[in-house]
Amino acid sequence: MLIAALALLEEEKGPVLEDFPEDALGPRAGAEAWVCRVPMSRPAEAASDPTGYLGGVLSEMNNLGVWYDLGKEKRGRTTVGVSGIEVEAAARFIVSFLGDAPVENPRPDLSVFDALKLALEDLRAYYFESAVSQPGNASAGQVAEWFWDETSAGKLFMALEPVLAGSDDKKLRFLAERMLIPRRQFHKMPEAGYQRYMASLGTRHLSSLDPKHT
Amino acid sequence: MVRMEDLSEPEVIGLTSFPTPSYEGSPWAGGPPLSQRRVAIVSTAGLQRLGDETFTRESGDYRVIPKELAASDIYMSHLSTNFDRTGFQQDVNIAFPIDRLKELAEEGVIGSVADFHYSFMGAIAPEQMEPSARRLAGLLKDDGVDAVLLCPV
Repeated sequence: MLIAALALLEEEKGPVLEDFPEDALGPRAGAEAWVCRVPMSRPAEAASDPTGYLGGVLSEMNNLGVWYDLGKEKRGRTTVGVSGIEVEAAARFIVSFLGDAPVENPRPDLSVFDALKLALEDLRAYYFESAVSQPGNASAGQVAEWFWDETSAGKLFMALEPVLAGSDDKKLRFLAERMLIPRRQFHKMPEAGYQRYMASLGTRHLSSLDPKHT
Repeated sequence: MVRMEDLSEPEVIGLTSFPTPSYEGSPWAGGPPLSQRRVAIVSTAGLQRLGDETFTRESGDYRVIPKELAASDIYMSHLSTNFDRTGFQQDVNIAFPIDRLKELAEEGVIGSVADFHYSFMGAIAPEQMEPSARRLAGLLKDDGVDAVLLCPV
């Protein structure tokens, strides 16, 4: 693909717009669905209070740890760490937003928005790297569905949405609106959050969306 | 290539709600054969070295990624939560194909690989990047670059 793209530089006239005919391969036809064999917490129980979320997430991280470490060793790198906060501390920081008052910003050189955003990405990266390190060649879509459907961490992200959306800090409201939950997972949000997202997009197409929300 | 028909409806609505810029004219610049060109990567993946200032909502600037920087020192602080990061997590070349460029240089397909590469963070208005982009053009010229591989994410 790179050679095809670079070869466009040798065209004599432009602009040039070419479609590359090969798509990335999806899961093999007939292949078994990937299943994470690592026990996860039960999100319904974890959702009862902030302490429950934290316990659920830390338990999951402990169970996933061996796969995270093996993946890091195999690849010689990790993408976890951009926040500059240890990932367990990142989890505690995130969960604290569900309580009466967030814990002190562990990155005082950054705004709360930036520190929280990076902590969220580190936590998510920890789960995703742990998942793709397991046997089974999980696809990106399968890992995402697992994260958002089956983990306490995914439920934690969902639980944060109404809290941040109601914040006095406009940056945190923006985070809730645009940078917390991928659009592909919108349909799993509670109704009020879903409506907030769609309103933020200025859409007039609500009636054509998932019947659950119409 | 991601196609609209493969995306969920909220994704399609979100993407199509962005304004599309228009440009006066369509400039076209020629150059030497590919086998003589010096190539740099310019990414919008929010890539950075660990320890660099992370990208924020106000970051219209870029981070410098030296050619020989180890993959283990390349991190991502892109603000968007919408794009899939699993490819980048497994292989830096998915978003920043530096090893592939080096191979193409060894094979003589391209002339050489630039000493420095650059990353913006794409979740920001293009107008905010323009001053930095103009400065970056000068840096690329100083490095002898005559082809840029734009890697949007």
